[in-house]
Amino acid sequence: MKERSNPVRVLIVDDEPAVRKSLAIFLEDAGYAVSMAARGEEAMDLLEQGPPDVAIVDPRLPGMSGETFILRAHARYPELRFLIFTGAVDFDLSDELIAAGVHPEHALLKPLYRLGSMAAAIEDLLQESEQTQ
Amino acid sequence: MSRNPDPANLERADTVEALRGRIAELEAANRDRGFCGGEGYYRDIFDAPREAVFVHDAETGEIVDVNRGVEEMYGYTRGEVLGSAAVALNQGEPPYSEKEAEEWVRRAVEEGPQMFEWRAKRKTGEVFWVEVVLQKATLGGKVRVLAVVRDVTDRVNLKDMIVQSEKMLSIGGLAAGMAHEINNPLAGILQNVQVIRNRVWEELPKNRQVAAECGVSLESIRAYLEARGVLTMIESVLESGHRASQIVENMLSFSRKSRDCFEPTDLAALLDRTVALASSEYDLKKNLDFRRIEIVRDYDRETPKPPCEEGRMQQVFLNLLRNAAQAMADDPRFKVEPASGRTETPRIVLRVVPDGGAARVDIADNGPGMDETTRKRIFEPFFTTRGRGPGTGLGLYVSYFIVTDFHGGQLTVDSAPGRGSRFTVRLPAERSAP
Repeated sequence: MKERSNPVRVLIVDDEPAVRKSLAIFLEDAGYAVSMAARGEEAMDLLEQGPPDVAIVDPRLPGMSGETFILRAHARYPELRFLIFTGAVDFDLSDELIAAGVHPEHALLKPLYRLGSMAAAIEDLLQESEQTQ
Repeated sequence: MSRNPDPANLERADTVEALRGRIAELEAANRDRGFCGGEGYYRDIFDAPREAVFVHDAETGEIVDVNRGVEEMYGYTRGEVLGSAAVALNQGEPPYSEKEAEEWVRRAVEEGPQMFEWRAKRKTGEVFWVEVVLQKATLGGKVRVLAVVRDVTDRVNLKDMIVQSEKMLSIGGLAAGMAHEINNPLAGILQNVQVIRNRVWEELPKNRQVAAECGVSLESIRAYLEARGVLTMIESVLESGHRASQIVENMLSFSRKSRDCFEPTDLAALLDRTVALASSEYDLKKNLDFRRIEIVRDYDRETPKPPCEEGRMQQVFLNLLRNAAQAMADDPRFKVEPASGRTETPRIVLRVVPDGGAARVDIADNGPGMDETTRKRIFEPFFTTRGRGPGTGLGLYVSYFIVTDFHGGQLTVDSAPGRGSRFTVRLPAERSAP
């Protein structure tokens, strides 16, 4: 990971505790500042306390869907970038998600045999953001 | 098997009725006019229907006459059928043996007309589906049972195919739902195991710090875990989880839609490239060197070039070739005899031909073939006749969906024990709207 003065802030939104917590631990160990939410509504509340740099979102959540969360969060915090982390074998991005800056390379499929690819995806996403600024 | 009347049955009943009626008319006419030269006339009417007609003696069940339809359908001459008790017209095993046949005749005499499906056998030994209508009739003053038999192989096959495709569709839907449910806990397992490994074997500052706080060095923790095989076990959990995730992925690989990759495909050329690929496959060499198999090509250049996703269609062809090769590898007929060095030649016939508006590919082997039970289950996931092997038992299942769901085609199999297997892929020449 690139040298930065402040750690990159990552929010994980996933209702499966084993997935959410272990991913959080992995990313913390890799030097990220991680927060977690099990539901979209809870994640929206967390954003109020200061938005992270990247949100990793499971599209299938109880209550508010992952997609709805992304669209609402994007409307409110345009700087926030998203990664999709899904157990579906195939994931179709809606036009709205693409408009919110979510592209096919931002969707990762569970399970990841190497969690390093999640860290790499975060780095790529941040680099992309820096270049467009 | 007694069946509900359907239109086809009613039509059959009409045939019997008509036949009976006309014979009765004829007999009446003969009587009225003192007409004596009626045998030829009677025979013409008897031979007219396309169905096979048997006339049984109602008491003994013995066949006393047959029409020309019997000769055409069963392949025996009239003389053979009437003259020999050794002629096997029935499949021969319960519930399609002689005993049940006699029982049906008895019921027709005692209870009235009977309609049922039956497994019949031709002179060639081929077993086929027929529909039989039995009806008592008085012919020439004698009580007979007329059996009108229609070959319904095509209808039964179609019914089988519909049942098969419905079953496969429901399995496909189930699999997609299951994949999602399984991937989440799998992610839980794989992620936690990776974190465990990182926290012991990665050079994270915190690893050292916490170890020191616990009064041990990281080196001694690692030494212990390695000495007790814990590292190996962790790697093993990772590998197993990885394998499970690949099975889930393979099961659904056909459903990854990439609709824009369809190109008109020269199936003969694709088949040839796949044969080349199969020849270089190491797994196959362990059993039977693919290059020992004689490949016979029968390609019709007029075959349409259907829109295919080439990679996936190649996967289908590879699966079918692999299956053929493996089936033949297990067949003792192809083992080289050490004494003479002689052996039968394993052979795969590849055929690419036009079929209506579609393209048809046959991949036929001269291996051991399979029985009906196996044939009906061959496309089910994890169904295998080879025990635990290198495969996942998903090859044909995935192929089935690639052909039907993805390409809008059909994948079927014809096979019988001792007569090899022929897999047929039919692909429409035009792509219908998704």
